[in-house]
Amino acid sequence: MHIADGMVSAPVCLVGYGLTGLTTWLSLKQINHTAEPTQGVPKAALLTAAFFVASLIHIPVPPASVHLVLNGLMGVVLGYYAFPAVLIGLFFQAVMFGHGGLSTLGINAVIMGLPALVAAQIFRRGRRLLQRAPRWGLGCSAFGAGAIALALSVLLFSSIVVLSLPANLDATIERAAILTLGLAHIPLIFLEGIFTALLALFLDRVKPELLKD
Amino acid sequence: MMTQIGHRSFMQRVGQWGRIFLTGGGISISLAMPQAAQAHGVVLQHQPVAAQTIIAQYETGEPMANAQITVYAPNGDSPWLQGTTDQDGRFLFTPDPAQPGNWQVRVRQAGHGGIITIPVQASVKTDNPVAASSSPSENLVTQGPTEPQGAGYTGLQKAVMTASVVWGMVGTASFFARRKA
Repeated sequence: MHIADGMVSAPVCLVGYGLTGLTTWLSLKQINHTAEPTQGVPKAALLTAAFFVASLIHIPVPPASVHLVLNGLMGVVLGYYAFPAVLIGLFFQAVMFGHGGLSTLGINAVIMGLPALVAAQIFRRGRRLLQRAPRWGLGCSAFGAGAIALALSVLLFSSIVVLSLPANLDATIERAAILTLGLAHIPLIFLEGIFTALLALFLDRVKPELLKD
Repeated sequence: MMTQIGHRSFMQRVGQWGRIFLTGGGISISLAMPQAAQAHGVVLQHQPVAAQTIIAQYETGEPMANAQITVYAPNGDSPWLQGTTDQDGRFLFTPDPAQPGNWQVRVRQAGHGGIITIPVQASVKTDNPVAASSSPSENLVTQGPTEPQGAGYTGLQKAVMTASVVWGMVGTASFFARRKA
């Protein structure tokens, strides 16, 4: 899911950094509008740690191997804090373990951070829509947020890789490999949806203020 | 059917001694014509070359089978060689000794991969290129294997690195939680 250095062209990297800069600015602006901007920092820091570790947990889905992303969970719990948290997590993943790269940090943040913000909106709106059955509404909206966020990430990753294929590469082989990788993520999409729903239900029971806007 | 019947009747007529005679005669003719057999022979030679093996694996140890390989010669913008790895994630190629410098090999599969730089330098120049190619240790020097960033860490190293980052983030969380209190 991480695009490594040298896998996409320089203009794609620059566009990625531009979008990441803009989204980070918008997220921080939204956070700054809250009554106490630093209130969400502790949970953002803890979930950044979880996001950082998640990339090390590989799940074999023959013939490929996928790793947890947890960007939907970040969006559900953190809201606007999710994008800066994903950005920081990706930075440490790139520096410490070479997952992704510094030149592709921007484009990777777009791939995993933007769906996290979409997940936050899905969770918030879904919860409002299903107010009549609060527990079911919470679980379903959290599942949808977790699953859709990862599905969007896979879609963004595949689109960017396919659209920026170098001319000298065999496009047929690469497209087939990307399709295989995308299909391998389908079980993970459901898994992350279920995990997000279970965690949201747990937090709602033990510390409901963590899920408030 | 007619042929089988005819063949059986001929062999029956020849008998056991006749079959031994026919077989022995065939072998004797073959051994008596070594020159004719050599006309269809092959000539095998061997020549040592300084080849490079690219071993492409995911960090889980799983080989990158059928990954696309692009080899760039020093100061070359267009690919010098293209190919795919085998089922074990291996790709073998021989850099051109006439082009010393940093050879770059790009490995790619489904948007994943990396670039490895292989330093190749000419240490001895000879007037006889054939003789030089027979002793690659003199003509073509390749430095030790280079590893991509993030590879080669032991489990303990990874655990310590992960723990240090997580510790920093927990510390950040604690700091802001305490300030709030």
